[in-house]
Amino acid sequence: MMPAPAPQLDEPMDAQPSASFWQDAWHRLWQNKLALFGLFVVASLSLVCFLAPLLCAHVIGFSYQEQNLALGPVSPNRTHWLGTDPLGRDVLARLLYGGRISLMVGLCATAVSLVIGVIYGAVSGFAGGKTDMVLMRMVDILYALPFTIFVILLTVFFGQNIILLFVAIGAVEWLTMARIVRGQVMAIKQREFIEAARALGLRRRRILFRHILPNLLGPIIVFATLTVPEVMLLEAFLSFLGLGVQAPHSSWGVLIKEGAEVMEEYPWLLTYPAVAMALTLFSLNFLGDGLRDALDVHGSKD
Amino acid sequence: MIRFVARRFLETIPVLFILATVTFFMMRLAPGGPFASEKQASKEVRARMDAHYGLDKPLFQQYLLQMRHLLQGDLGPSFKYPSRTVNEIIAQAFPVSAELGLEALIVALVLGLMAGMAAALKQNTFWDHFPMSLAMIGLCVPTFVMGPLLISVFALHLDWCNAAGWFLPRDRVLPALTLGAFYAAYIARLARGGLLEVLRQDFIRTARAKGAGAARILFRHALRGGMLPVVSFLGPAIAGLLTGSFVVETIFGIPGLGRYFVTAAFNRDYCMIMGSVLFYAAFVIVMNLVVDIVLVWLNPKLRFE
Repeated sequence: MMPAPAPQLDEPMDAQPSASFWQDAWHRLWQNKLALFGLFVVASLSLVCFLAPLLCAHVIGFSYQEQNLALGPVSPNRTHWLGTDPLGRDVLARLLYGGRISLMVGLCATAVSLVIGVIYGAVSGFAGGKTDMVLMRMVDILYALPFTIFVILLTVFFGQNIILLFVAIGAVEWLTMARIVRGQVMAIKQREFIEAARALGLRRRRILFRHILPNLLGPIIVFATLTVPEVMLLEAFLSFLGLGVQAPHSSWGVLIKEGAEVMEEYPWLLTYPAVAMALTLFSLNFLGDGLRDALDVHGSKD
Repeated sequence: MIRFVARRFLETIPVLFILATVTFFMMRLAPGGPFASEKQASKEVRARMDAHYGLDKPLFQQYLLQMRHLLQGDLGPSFKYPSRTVNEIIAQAFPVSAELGLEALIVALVLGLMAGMAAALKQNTFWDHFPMSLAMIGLCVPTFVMGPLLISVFALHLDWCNAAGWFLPRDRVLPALTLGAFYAAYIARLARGGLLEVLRQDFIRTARAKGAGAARILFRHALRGGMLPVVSFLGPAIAGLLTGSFVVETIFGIPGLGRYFVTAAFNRDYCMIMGSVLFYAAFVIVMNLVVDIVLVWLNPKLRFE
């Protein structure tokens, strides 16, 4: 008689939370109109900013760096929908291009912080013991480093290169992520299905990446959504220090900074970028809150 | 508890040591130096200045030298303000920043806790949505927009106070509001979340069943547990508030510590950077220790370990 085929140990039995969990979460998110509104705003703003070159060429009719010194700053009108800045550049075009950079900085820096934070936290929580202690002590030390000085020194290393700039931001933003992931991993490590996986003889790396991490998707998604607005505010802060993107490029932070300097004379230069940025941050925060409720995440940031 | 505090203080020493080492080599590896921007200085003058401050010695020797000074509590001279030491600058600017930070903290706590409590008690009503929308605005408006906006409304148009300066008690209002707004918003959200979590629990239902009034339930039963997230947040927040904010100090022209911190990094003022880093780090560590003690006091389930 043929022996029954051995069970496929390689196939993870619990790698994904069951589909019904995600359907459930989606259903709950669908009920939350504020979060949906946030999702809609973020998606449409991203799309519009992504299409900025096309829109500038065909709809707006001005590029973001086209100067018209004779024109100077004019308030919103039929040719320049959102007015122009002191150099006669079209505010709408600059807003769209600035949005591209701000959103890109937000997303890329968050992605960097996500990758570092998740791997660091997961390894620390999973390994436990001495390794955990050393790794977490290092996080404590980095936490005590004044962030501003650290970022300024990093921009000195990386120059004004924007890509490296947000890599740098991401590299310092991962600390909280690492702490959250570590806590979650330590809790999940104790559960029966991990014990089962261990009993089946799966290798540690496989248990960590195929069985534990998928269960962390909820907190990770929520926290990522809330990190993006933080990073965008940080970009604005760096622009205030003059360490943001360099002219003639723009970002919302740069535009807001320039606008705040002349808000009494030319208020539209502050209003539109500030509204665009506040709207985006609003939407991301609402989306994050909605996702937290939908995915039933506890004990993340607040 | 004394053992706990003592051990935490001992643990602080290696942390500060590592931070000092990392900071030292990071700022030395960064291109440029404290005198690189002084274009008019000739080569000889620059060499003399380097020699005067010991910057011409091998890097590792400089490192040992600085560590020895640090151990004696001497943060060294400021390269940018040659007649003053870093200790003097901090001693002079910190009280200003600390005062502003305390006032901002009061603003943040009063506004934040009131909003958070109202929102949690009246969940899903106007008293929840309205303060929480304000809090969301507070989180989304950068400080350097909030400051000029407040100046424009209250100083320029209403003429209630000065646009900048740090002389009269009145001058404290706008900076404290500007700095406190973000923290108030954050505290409001944390307080709401924490209180809602507690109000759901059985012992609150019991208290209600026994006929305790809303105020008694809030203050006697719920507040203690509901404040845990706020207290955890306050540790790093207080450290950040008291050591100064570059943006607020720049906008309102306040001679505080935040500006020195940032200009030091720009100027490669080595000793000033080191002093700022260590001062801030020590603050964070002490505040975290205080928070941990308060947390144990608030939550009997926790133990000192």
